[in-house]
Amino acid sequence: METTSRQWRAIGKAVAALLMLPLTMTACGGTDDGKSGGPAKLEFWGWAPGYDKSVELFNANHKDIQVTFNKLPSGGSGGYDKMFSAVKAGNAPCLAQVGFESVPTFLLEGALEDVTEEASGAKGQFVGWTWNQVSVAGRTYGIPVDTGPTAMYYRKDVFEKYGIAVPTTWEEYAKAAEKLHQADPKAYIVNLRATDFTGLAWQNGAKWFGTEGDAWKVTINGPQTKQVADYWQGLIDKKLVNTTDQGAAWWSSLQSGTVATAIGAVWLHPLIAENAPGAKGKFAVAPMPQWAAGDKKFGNEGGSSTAVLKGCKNKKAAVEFATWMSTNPDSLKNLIKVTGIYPAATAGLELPEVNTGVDYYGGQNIFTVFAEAAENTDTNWQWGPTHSQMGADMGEEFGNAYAGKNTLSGALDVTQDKTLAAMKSKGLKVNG
Amino acid sequence: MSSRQSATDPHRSRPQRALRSGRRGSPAAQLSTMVLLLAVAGYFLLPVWWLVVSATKSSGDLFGTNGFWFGSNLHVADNVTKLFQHSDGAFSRWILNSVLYAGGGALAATLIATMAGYALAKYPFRGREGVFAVIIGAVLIPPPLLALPLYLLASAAGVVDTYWSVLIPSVVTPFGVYLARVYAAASVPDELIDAARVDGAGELRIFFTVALRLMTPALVTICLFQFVGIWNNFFLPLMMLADDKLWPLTLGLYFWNSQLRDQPWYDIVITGSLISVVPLVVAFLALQRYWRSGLSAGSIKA
Repeated sequence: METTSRQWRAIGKAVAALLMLPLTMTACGGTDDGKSGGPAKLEFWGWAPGYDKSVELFNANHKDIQVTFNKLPSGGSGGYDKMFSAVKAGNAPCLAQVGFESVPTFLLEGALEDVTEEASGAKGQFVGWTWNQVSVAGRTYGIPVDTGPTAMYYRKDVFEKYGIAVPTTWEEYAKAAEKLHQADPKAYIVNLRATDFTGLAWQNGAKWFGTEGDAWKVTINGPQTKQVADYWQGLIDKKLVNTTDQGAAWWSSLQSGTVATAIGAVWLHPLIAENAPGAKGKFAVAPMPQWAAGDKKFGNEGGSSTAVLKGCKNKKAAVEFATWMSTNPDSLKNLIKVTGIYPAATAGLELPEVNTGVDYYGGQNIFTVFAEAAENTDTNWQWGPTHSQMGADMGEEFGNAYAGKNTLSGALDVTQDKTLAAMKSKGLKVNG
Repeated sequence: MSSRQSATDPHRSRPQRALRSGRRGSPAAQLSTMVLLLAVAGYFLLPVWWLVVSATKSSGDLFGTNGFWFGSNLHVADNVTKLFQHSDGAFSRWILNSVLYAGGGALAATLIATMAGYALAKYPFRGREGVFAVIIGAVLIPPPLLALPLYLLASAAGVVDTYWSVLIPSVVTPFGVYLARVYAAASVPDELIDAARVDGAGELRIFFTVALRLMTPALVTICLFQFVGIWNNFFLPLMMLADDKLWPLTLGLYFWNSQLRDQPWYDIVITGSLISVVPLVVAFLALQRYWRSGLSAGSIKA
C-alpha cells in the first residue's frame, strides 16, 4: 500500500507539472501595447479578407508602429461577442472591425475608447455622413472604412422583354411591378428582405435613433418610415412582391429572372456575379427610385469602421493606423480589390479602381451610380445601442407581416415597443 | 442487417436475444419495422446526400440546379483545388490542428477518464459517492456554457491564444468518467485484482496490464465520443484562439462562411464541410464494433 501512495503522489506531481507547463511557456510571449523602447505594438481584430494585406503594407512603411492582424468570425456571427469577452477579460486588441450599426452597441457594452481628440484631424477626409456613424453624442470612437450606398440592380433583359421602362420614382416602380407580374405571373419585381428595409427607410430621411441631452430618442415607427412601410404593404397586398425566396432560393430567382430587381448596396455586385453566373450581361445598375421625381436622396446598407477598443494603451498610434488604412491610396486599392469595399474617404471615391466598367454588368461603370448615392446619402441616420435585439425583433415581425398576421406598419410599432423595453432594461434613459 | 449482427454479438445478454428472436416471428411486424427504419435512415442521410451532391457543383449550379441531384458537370476537382489553395493553404493547417486537438485531446481524455472511473469503481474512499455525484452533475452542463468562464480563467493564467487553451479543457470528459466507472465495475472482477495483488503487482501495473485490457470497449467508446466532441467543438476555440494558424476546422469553415457578405465562398465552404466529416465517418466505421458493445454495456448496468 505504501508504494501505491508514493506512485499516486508521483502521478499527482506529473499532472501538476503538465498543467503548469503552458503557463511558464507563455509568460514571456505576451504582447504589450505601450512598451517603452521599440515600436508600439498594436493588435487588430477583423474578418474582412484583404485587411491583413493592408496591415502588411502599413508595417512595411512604419517603423514606430507595428500592427498584428488576427482574424475572427464576422461580428454578427460571434465576432462581436468574442470582442466583448476580451474586453471583459482585459486582453482586448487595440483595434477592431466594427460595423456602423454596432458602434452604439459597443459603446453601451463599455467596449470603446473615446478618441475624439486623437481623431479630430482626420474628420475632413471622410464623406460627411460617415463621421456620424463613428460618433455618438458628439464623441468619436473610431475611423470610418467603407460605406454601402444603395442602388437598384435590375434585369435589363426582363425589362426589355416586357417593355418596362427603368423606374425612377417609387410610383413608377409600383407600376412596373404590376406590369411585370401581369405579363408573367411567376415573375416578381423584387424580393423584399427585412434587412433591406433599413436602407429604404434611411433614403426617406427616417431617423430611428437619436440622442437628446443624456437620453436616447427612438422613433422606429416615425412618419417617414411609416410611409415606406405603407408603400410596400400596398405591393404585398396586391401580391406583387415575392416574400418567400430567401437565401439560396433568392440567388436562383435572380439568376432565372423571376425576381427582376434587387435594391441593394454596392457590396452586392460581386455576390450577384458569383452566385448568379448564368445572368452575366443581363444585369444593370440604376439609381434607387425616388419618392419625388427629380430628387437625389439615397440610403445606405452596411459600412464599417475601425474602432478603438477599451483598454487600448496607445490611442494615438491606433488612430494613426486606422486613418492610414482608410485613406492611404495603396491600402484603399488593396481593400477595393480584395475586400470589395467602397471607400468612406472622399479621396478614395476618385480612385480609378472604383471608376471602371464591370464585365458582369455588360461593362457598365456601375460605380458612378454608387458614388452619386454615397455623396447624397441622408445624414440624419443613427443606429441604436441594442442593434442585435432590434434586428432580430424586426426580422421576426416582418416575417409575421409577410405571413399576413400583421402589417409592415404594425410590425414597426411592435419593434418600436420591444426596442424601448430592451433599452430601458439595460438601464438607459429613453424618450419614445 | 443490424439486428442480425447484434443477435450474434457475444456481448449481448441471453434474455435480450430471446426477446429479439421472439419478435422476428411475425413477418408483418418485421416488414413495418424495416420500412420505419429505412425511412428514418433516409431522413438522416438526406442532408449528407445534399452535402455530397453540392460539393460537386460550381457556385452557379449550386443555386441554379436541383439541390438533390448533380449539376451539369462535375466540379469536384476544381472545388477541392480551390479549397486547399484558398488563403495560402489555411485549410490543410486547420485539418492538422483539428487532428491534434481531437486526437491528442481524445487520447489524454480517455486515459484520464479511465483512470478516474477505475479508481471510483475499485477503491473505496470517503466521499467517493460525493465526487461521483459532482461528476454526474457536470454531465448535465452543456459545454458552451463553460466557454466564457474557461476563457476568463485561461486569460488569467495567460494561456489564451495557445494550443493549450483548447487542449487542456478538452481532456476533461465527465461522461467518460461515468462510463468508465460503470464499465470497470461490470467488467473488472475484484477477484482478478486481488489475485494480481497477491502475485505482487503494483496498483499501476494492475491498472495498465489487467484493467485497461478488460475495459477496451469502454476505452474505444470514450475515445470516440471525445474525438467527435472535440472535432465538432466550435465555441471554445472561438473564444480562446485569436491567431488563425491555431484554429481547428470548425472555426475555419465557420469563419469563411461568415465572410460571405464580403466574398462569396459557398463552394469551398461546402466542399470543406464534406472533407471535414470524412474522418468522423471513418472513425465510426472502423470502431463501431467496439463502441457499440461499450455503449450497451454501460446502458445496461447504469
